[in-house]
Amino acid sequence: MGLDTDLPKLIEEHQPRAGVHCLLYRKEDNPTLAIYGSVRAGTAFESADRLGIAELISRILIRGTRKLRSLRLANQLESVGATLSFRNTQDNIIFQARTTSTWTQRVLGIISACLTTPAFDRRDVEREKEELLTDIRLRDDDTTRRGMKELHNLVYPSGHPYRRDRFGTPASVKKIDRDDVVEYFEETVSRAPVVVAFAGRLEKSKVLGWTEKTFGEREESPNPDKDSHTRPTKPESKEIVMGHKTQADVIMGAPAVGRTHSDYEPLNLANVILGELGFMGRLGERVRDREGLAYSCTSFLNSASIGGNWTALAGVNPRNVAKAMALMREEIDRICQQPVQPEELESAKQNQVGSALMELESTEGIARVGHNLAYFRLGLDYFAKRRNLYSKITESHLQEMAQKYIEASKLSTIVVGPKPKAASSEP
Amino acid sequence: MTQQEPTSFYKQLQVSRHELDNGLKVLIRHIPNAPVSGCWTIYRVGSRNERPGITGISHWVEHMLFKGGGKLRKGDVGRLVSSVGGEYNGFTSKDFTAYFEILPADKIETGLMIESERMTNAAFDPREVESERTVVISEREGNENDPEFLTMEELFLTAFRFHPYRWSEGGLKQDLTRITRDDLFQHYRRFYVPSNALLVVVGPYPASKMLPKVQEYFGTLESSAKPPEPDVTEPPQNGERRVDLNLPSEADYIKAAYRTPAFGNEDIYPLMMLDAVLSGVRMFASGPGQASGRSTRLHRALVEKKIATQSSSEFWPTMDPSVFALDLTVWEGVGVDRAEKLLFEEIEKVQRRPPARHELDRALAQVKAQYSYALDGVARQGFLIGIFELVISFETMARLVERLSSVTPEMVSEAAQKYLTAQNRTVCRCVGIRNQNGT
Repeated sequence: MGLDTDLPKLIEEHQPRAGVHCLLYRKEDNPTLAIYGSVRAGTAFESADRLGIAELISRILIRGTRKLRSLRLANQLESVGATLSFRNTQDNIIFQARTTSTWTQRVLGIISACLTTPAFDRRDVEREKEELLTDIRLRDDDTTRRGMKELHNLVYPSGHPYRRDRFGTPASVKKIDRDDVVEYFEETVSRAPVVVAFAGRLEKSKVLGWTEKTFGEREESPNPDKDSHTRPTKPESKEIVMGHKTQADVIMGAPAVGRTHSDYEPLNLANVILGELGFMGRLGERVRDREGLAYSCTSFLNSASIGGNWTALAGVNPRNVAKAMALMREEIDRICQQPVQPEELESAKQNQVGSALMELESTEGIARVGHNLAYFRLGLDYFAKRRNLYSKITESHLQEMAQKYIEASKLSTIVVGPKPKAASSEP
Repeated sequence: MTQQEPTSFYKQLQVSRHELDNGLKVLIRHIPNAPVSGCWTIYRVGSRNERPGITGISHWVEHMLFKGGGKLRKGDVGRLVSSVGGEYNGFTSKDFTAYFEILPADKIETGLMIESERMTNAAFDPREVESERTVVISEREGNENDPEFLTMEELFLTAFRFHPYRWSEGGLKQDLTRITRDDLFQHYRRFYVPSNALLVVVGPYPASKMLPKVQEYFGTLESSAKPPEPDVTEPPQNGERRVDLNLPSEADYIKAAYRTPAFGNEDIYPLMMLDAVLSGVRMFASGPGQASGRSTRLHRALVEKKIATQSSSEFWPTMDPSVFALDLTVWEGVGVDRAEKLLFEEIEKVQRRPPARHELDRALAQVKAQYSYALDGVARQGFLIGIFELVISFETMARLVERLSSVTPEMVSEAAQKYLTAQNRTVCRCVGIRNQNGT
């Protein structure tokens, strides 16, 4: 047993106010402090006519508060080597900070001001809108990112919050004005549940006091979108031709499960074998290592709070698209039709156990892991429980999960890049 | 070991240095009670050691060293490490090639075994060579999808006319299609020798316990003469060089490179501080420990004023004379000529007038803080220790704060006057052809 199973003894969990969870990991011999937190006000909570607003807000939060303009705020952080960033995800606006412990109070003060009294200067709103519009264009010109965005449209049904483009659309972003930003902040961000984890050198009473004062009362559980659990999609295939690119991306995917679903653990192990274990799993071993068709061929499971999706992708020369797709499908079929080998399953379990230990070796990792365990309500004893659960998961469980979620008839496919040509054995 | 407040980094970074009879240098950093251990092997070979016709060979050899040989079957590296949840990888730069395994502390011998086998027993199976040919070409083609990569590549191809720093580490496609298995194997045999390598082990084992294990795995490897250093010297640049590209791109890019001396020259330290003043410190950390640079000159003058969506400088210590780089993504609607003019005006400002003392103090605070973040956890320490040792010495890394503290604002300005001149500059701009993004 190790640090992962000792977390309940090492991390303190507090709820200073309703809707606010705080985790503390004290390490006095470390002169730094890592902070990882979330406000449950990400893209999934936007209204349909203000797509992109959560992303916009996450970019503006660092741009100054009512008392601290952008440059002074930046200088206050950077003059002491501290960092603070905000980013938007499907579920949350995440905030992350790092500081040497000497400057903890200063950094906490800045985080508090950013999250409670942001300035939302009109010029900053317009400015960030322009940047976001540029980022949408850049994203849409990137074969991988464009393909991933399009895949979400195929695997999530209409109305599902995770189908939304985190960036919004050019039309929706242009429509957003400062009043919309302030409204979303006041109505959603300021009321949403908060989870924040601290790891490193800290004074418990000060940190808890700060958390309570900063976030106040929060709603325990926000209302998810009513259409969030909708009927399954019908798999489709799509091709996006980008004649000016050199390489094509092949992306396959299917709806999967949320993080706390009972199918998550065996499905995750199946994905580890298919796309991660060793050198990018079976997919990487077949498409890259054996056939030499791609620098990267892998898969991953994205599981969030109200659903998830599974994705496999490879970057290939256009003349090898058909061959790469066929090989990827063969490997997906194989894991569906035949149980994995016992040693593969054991390696996958050990991989996940060991990966957790790797992640916990730094205070930054502990803050992130502690936050995620609390956010998904998995419990600090999750890793110990998981070891026990793993002992009961068999090869047939994985096969059942593969058939249930990633069997060929459930897969949508996107190809993005120059027009595919016939497969060739030449480089 | 108890970590102190960041006031004396040299005392914090307790590393013992050793050398085996076969010439392998070994650095051991003992972190008591660390749950994780890291094993890094860094070879003094990169694209710097190539010539036209075999560009990309160092990177390709790196790929081949994951394909087994000796006690390792193909796939064993991945299986052995990932089955215990460890991490592993390799990468090739202009100056070095590095491999690492980050493992649970009690599995460090797995890393030592992998590194010792790959040092002299890599198989280079001809079928695997051919399979990997398309992989390295695929990696190259994936990069070619990115107009920024193409712009940066053009910058270096123009800034250097002779020195191998001119081509990217992945190599040029025409060479990747022609390099043979024998070329690869000869390159491997030449550079992958104990005397050309550095092993760094970080973890909970003191040198007294770790060194015998290192001796067990590496001590029997044959010693060989250290390969000769490349002898290509880039001639001085006598005037500005410019390239304008028109590529499909949804943004315009400006990149500039000024020729600078190698690490070891005393001007390196003022140049590092100049980089920090212009766009912040990134040397020691990544991810949450990385300074954002929003208070720095380029951000304030160009990004805040909507001339650029991002603008930065970059200066990394290298073995041979290299470049101080500037990078800018133009704000949509702003012409590249105007953006370039304003970018170079910022350089002229720091040439005319030394930066304020607080700008240097800010940079030093960032170095110290990032140093502390880097010491939190095993994973990154081995890399930093190894890279500095390879380029100059790990003591230099530990003493970096002291060296940078002695740089004055006047020295920064003088370095800018000396190196960041138009005559010493190469500029590559990409004016993007818009609206190619697919149907």
